[in-house]
Amino acid sequence: MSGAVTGRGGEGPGGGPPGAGPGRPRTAAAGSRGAGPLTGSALTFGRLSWFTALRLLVSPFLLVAGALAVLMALSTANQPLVHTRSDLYESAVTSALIVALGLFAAVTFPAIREVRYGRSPVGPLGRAGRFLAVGAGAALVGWACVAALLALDAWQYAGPVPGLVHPLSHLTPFVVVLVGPAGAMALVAWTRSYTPLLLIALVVPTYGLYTITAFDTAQSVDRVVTRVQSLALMAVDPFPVHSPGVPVLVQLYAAYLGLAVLGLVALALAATGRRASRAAALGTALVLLAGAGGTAAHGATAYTWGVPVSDRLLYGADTVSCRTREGVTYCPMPGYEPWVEQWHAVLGPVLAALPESAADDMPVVWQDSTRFDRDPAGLPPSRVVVYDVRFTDGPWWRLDILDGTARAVFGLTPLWESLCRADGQSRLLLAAWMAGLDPKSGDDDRRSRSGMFLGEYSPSQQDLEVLHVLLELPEERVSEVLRDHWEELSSPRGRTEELAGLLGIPLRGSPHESPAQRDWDRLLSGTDMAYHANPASGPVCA
Amino acid sequence: MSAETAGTGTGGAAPSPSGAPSVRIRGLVRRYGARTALDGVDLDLGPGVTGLLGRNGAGKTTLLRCLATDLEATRGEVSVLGRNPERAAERTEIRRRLGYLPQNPEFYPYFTAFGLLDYMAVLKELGGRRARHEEVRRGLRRVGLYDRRHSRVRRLSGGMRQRLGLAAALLGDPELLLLDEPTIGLDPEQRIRFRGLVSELAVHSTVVLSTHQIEDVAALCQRVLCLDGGRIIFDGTPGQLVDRARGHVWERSGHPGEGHTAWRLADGRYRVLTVAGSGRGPSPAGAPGGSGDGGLVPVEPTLEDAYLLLTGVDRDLGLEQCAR
Repeated sequence: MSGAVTGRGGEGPGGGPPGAGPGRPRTAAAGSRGAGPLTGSALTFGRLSWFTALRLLVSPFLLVAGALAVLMALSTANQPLVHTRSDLYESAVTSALIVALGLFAAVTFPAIREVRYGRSPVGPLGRAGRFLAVGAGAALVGWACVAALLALDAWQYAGPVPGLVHPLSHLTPFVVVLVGPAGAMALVAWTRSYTPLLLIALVVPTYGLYTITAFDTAQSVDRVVTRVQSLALMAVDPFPVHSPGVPVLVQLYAAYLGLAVLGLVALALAATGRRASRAAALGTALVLLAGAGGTAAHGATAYTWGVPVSDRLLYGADTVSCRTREGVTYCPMPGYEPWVEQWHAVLGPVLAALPESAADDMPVVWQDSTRFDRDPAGLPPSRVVVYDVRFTDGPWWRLDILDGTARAVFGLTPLWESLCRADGQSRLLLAAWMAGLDPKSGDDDRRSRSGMFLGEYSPSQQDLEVLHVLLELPEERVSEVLRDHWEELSSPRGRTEELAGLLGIPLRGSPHESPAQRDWDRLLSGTDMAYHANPASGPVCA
Repeated sequence: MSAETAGTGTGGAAPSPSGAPSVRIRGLVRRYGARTALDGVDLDLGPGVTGLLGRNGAGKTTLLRCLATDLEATRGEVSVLGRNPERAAERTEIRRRLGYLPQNPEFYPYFTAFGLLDYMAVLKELGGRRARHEEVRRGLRRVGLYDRRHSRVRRLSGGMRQRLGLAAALLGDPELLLLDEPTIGLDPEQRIRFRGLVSELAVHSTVVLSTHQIEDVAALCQRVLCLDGGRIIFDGTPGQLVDRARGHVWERSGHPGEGHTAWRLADGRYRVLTVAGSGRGPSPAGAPGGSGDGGLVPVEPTLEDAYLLLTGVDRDLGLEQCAR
């Protein structure tokens, strides 16, 4: 014997059995054999989990998935967005899903090892214990990957990140990543084959190839593909409304995922455990999966689009409060308070360009969510809606605020609320001018935005000609006229001719004809817009 | 008990240093549906190598699986290493001290040889990582597979896989080693190496070896058990089994004719087995026929002769027809 030998280890509780006499040489490696049955099995379980985890870490499937997840995290960071904690949460969940898919493939192999080749009793740990240890090892790897990806995000987004995230949602990616291994274990336990993995390996690339190259060529196939796609997405996230900042939604999602993962594990055990315990495991699996289904159904009906989420349901609701800056009221969601100063930085110069009396008409700037319908809770309808997503690759978020503010200040109903015409009204031209009043935006962007604004209210050819000149005038000159004639010019009674006269703009074009395409082209020349105006229709804007 | 015990009564086991047998079985019955695989087996086993002989379906594998805690007894008492395998906690403890090489072991094909043994060593609770890996390397060296430690199991030959299974069973030098057909597919050199390993281990451990390789039994076992129809029909030393055949084994130059258990040898002569009182084969009076043509010459029996006399001839298997 080449191995070192020691005296016999302990014999466990109660001393050694009569048949296993003392003094027998043992190898040094057999050190833990003296442990009691439970502690020893727990130790073996832990060691087998660790053994599995180390092997999974070098699985090519996981390496590919991990690389994809890292690319995803890096690309998210490079998206032209003002990143919020909600974005980071969504990025983490997506990355966790990619890792889960990799783990699904990687875990299939050790799971097959246990169900196909694990029949002989080679140690204290039974088949079910060994199978569970594979799952535990996969969970360790999944959690390590998620933790690494979160660390990458933390490094990428150093510094305070605004946003609305419930603490429980930090755990969500750690549960999401378990879906892959749990699914693989359940499928392998029942099929005892690589077929599920092969099917997925065929279906996923085929789906990708089809959507890229052949989508829209065969409606019947498209319907099937779309249906399967929506079912797959629903299985991952069955809730139409989803936000990490709404505790009840976070809890529902956590409950759904937790029940689904536990249900899948129980389902796997129902096919691998001892015969006596299989029925119990199957029953438990059915109860857990039914619970997951029930949770999904409840969430999908109680919290859907169109059902407003009141502020008291938001995480940190006690901090929800509106605040006023120079007469403008801002109502951010909790976590987005730092954005108030940025919003005000857009509206501040506009306020300076308007007479003091206009402050009475300034709307409330109110933040809504792209992830759920926030309940305005009694705020006046005259409000500018800003969202929790902000792109950084253009002036649009600033112009959106100006757009909404201009409509509110001049009492023009947005196109998407009701269609009306305001041709010949001075307030339409002033509102269009104000909609482009962003010193940080380029002339072309400002002209585009003003032109688009005007086009929504069926302007006349004359309106277009006056706006063309108005946009070229110094801001101070327009402000001066507004200060002196605010009441009449901002009301529906104020006319284009009046405004043109006060500003010394020569009247050109017909007040009764819609502008031709060439007129629009002239206004928008130099921009990348090719605007087609709203045809004259609807009642006169009140 | 129906067994012919040539040794020390029930089991004839050499007792362990503590005086109690490592394996103690009383009235073991194991049924698969209506079929009875083990039918009232009584047995005591102690340190040393015990060979299990018997035809296919005699119950050898079932007996080993019962000892390995892989099968539960339908009836009877089984005690392994002083513990009752029917109790979960004690079964766990038995498995900690057990090495088991099943018949036709199937291994996960994507493991390397090292990985497989490492996995087995984890399951056998062998120490920390460094000590475990040292034990794995030792195991691979023991069966001559160290140079193939990085080869995938699926790339190994059948004999190499068998050696790998043997190395897995030997991990941690178990107190009870159960080997079911361990030398299938091994080349002569490896069989000799295997015998050395088992002999070494059997100094302190109880080894049970089920095999059809009579030479292995002759070379290794201090005790032989012959099973037939789920019962032990012989329990004794190999010498005692051979003694039983003395006077019943002959050789002659020509075929002895119909009704004899005989087979042709490499030199053209025939080996003939006779059973006293069977009414078949040459009578003792005609036996000492000298060395002339057609004469029967008494020869020293081998263990194989004895085994065949015990199982094949008694059951009128018509061995002579197969041998022709």
